[in-house]
Amino acid sequence: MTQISPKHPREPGFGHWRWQRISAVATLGLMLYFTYLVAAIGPLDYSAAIAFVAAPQHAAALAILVIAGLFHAALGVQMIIEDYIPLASGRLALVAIARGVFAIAAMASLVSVGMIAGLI
Amino acid sequence: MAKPRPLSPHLQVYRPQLTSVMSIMHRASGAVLATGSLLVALWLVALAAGAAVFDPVASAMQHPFGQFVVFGYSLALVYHGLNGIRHLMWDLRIGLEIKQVYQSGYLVLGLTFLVTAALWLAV
Repeated sequence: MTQISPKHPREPGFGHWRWQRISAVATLGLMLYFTYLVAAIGPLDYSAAIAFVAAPQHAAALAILVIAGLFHAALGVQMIIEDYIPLASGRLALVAIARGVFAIAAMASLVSVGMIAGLI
Repeated sequence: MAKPRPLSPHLQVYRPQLTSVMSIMHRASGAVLATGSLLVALWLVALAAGAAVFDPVASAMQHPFGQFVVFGYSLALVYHGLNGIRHLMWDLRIGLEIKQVYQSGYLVLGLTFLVTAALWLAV
């Protein structure tokens, strides 16, 4: 058990709590932006989707959304795993796997956006 | 191995309440969104891979099952976003009285229905 100590106001877990909220606000704002845009345009065919993602302001916002959103997802999934999977049942390994999956998805998304925007 | 510790709360004897049901719905919608975000990543990869890869993905999204998945994602997104605002308000110590918690709860449920319907009518 971690003792609540005045010497250590930031106990383990505070970083998770804070980043969950920072990533939540970033994801919320960017999701509003893209939901508004996509709802206004409707379903995108290949050339329309390329033109949409390649627009510099969309590519930049999408890159931040990918990082903030998948980071938020990784933190949330970690919380679910920690609540239901005991340490003895491979909790730490599952958390590591979840982090790896979301990190790979973020990298693949960023490379894709970069390619579409003509940066890579 | 020690005797298994009892789990709390005892779900079998707890009457579902708006607060507890909306709480687990926040977690469930988050799990749906975490999974769906991987599909969004696949959509981006398919788009970068070219029309030959992207077109089948786009037509799969038009298939009834694809539409069901996109609808589920949109519903989870709207609920998690609106209820997330409710959580952020609580973090700022706003609306913590039981009556206010119920009011904001019903507001989130109503807005989830309206916003999701508006989105699908707009597209």
